[in-house]
Amino acid sequence: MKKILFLISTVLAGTFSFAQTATVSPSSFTAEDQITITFDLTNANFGAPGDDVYIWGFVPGCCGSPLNDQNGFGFGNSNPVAKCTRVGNSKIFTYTLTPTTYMQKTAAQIGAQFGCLAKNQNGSKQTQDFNFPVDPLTFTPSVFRPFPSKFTQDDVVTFYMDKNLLDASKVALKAATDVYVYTDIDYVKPDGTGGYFQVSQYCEPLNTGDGNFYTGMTTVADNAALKAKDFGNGLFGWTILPSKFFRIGDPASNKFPPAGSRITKIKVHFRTRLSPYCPGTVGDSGSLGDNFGFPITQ
Amino acid sequence: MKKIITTCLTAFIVLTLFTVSCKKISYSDVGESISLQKNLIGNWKLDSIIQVDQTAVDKGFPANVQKLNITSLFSYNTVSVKFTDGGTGNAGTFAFTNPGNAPLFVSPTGNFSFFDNGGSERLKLAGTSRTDSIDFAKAYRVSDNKLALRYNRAFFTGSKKVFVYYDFNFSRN
Repeated sequence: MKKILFLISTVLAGTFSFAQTATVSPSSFTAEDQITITFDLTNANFGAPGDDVYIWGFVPGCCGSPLNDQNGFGFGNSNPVAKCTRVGNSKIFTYTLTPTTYMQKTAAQIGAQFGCLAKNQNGSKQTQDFNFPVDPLTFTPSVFRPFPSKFTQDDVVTFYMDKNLLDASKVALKAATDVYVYTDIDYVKPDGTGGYFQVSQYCEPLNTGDGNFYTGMTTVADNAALKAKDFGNGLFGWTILPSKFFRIGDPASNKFPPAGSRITKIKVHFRTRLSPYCPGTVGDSGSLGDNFGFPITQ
Repeated sequence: MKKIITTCLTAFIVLTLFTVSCKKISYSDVGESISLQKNLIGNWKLDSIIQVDQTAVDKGFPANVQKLNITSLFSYNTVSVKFTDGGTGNAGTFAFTNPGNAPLFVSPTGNFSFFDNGGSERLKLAGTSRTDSIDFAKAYRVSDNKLALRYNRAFFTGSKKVFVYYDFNFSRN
């Protein structure tokens, strides 16, 4: 019996290493952050100079990295790209990765944990599993936000303003129950030259020569095309399909961007109903402008 | 005596097992098969269109910033489409009716055909000026009287990853 127990413990000692450690930097990370894992194999029975060490990474309860076992590689034959870097002549090894890239999975698919172990090339020796908690990606509410976060000029885009997050100085806008916008774009014409185009509600006739397009209202009036929708709870949104709204290629006016133009920037300025430009109206001190970024061009 | 009792008991057990195991097990019907091709044909009314930010989904952001029902934001409630079988069961013509000019992203009329590029069945909508590949967001039986099509927007270069998609939910007209 004693002989059997001794044999079993010898076999186990040869297969597994004891008292190894692994740490990760930064200690708090999301699935989209680059991290460096450090394996300390000082007390392990592998990893001596000349003995390469490899990482084997996985999502606990799910799956391993494609690097582990694709293209003919596997636990018994580690992929060279999984080779860890030795620190000096020590038995300390590092490996740097970004979980989403390393696992070829999204942050949502990776979830709350990332696991790994260190092993020798042929898998005859390995450490225990090490599991590290993964922080969720945090959605941070902001005053202005486009939906979706990435869009082309041919997508439906909703530009949001959250009144609750407006600076306290925006008294008029915070109190407004009707919210409007005016908007302008930068664009590139097919010949490569730049263009600028603004659409707004103005108290001037349509045929003004200043290059902007006015919605033709000659009095302060509501314009449905420039009115934001009340989504409730202080959230207002203005929805357009940019290429259609800014009338790219529309021959009705030479003010419109020519066909084939590519929008590079959209600005949406939320405002109260009243305009400071119309005679006899109350000035609008609550109007804000915001650059909603660049449509993605395909 | 012991042998006789044992033999009888064994025979009894075997007989019981035989009787029970030979009892017919009735299974419920398999039911109507799902055929994307058969279900597609007909007149459809658009009930809703849901826009999904795939980037927000991938990041695990809250549900209310992952998707938006854009049905009421344009004249989608007047949109309908007719798919006509060309005779092969796998191809034919399509025509959208869209009096309110709501954004549909695809050609308004043209030819449709089914294809698969090694994966699930997809639908090709080919018009005079553009051709689009559409996915089936859900597989319905003909008797469900529903159709769900998905239009994807992906990066044209690089990863070609979908970053936004639109789910069109139809009911039979």
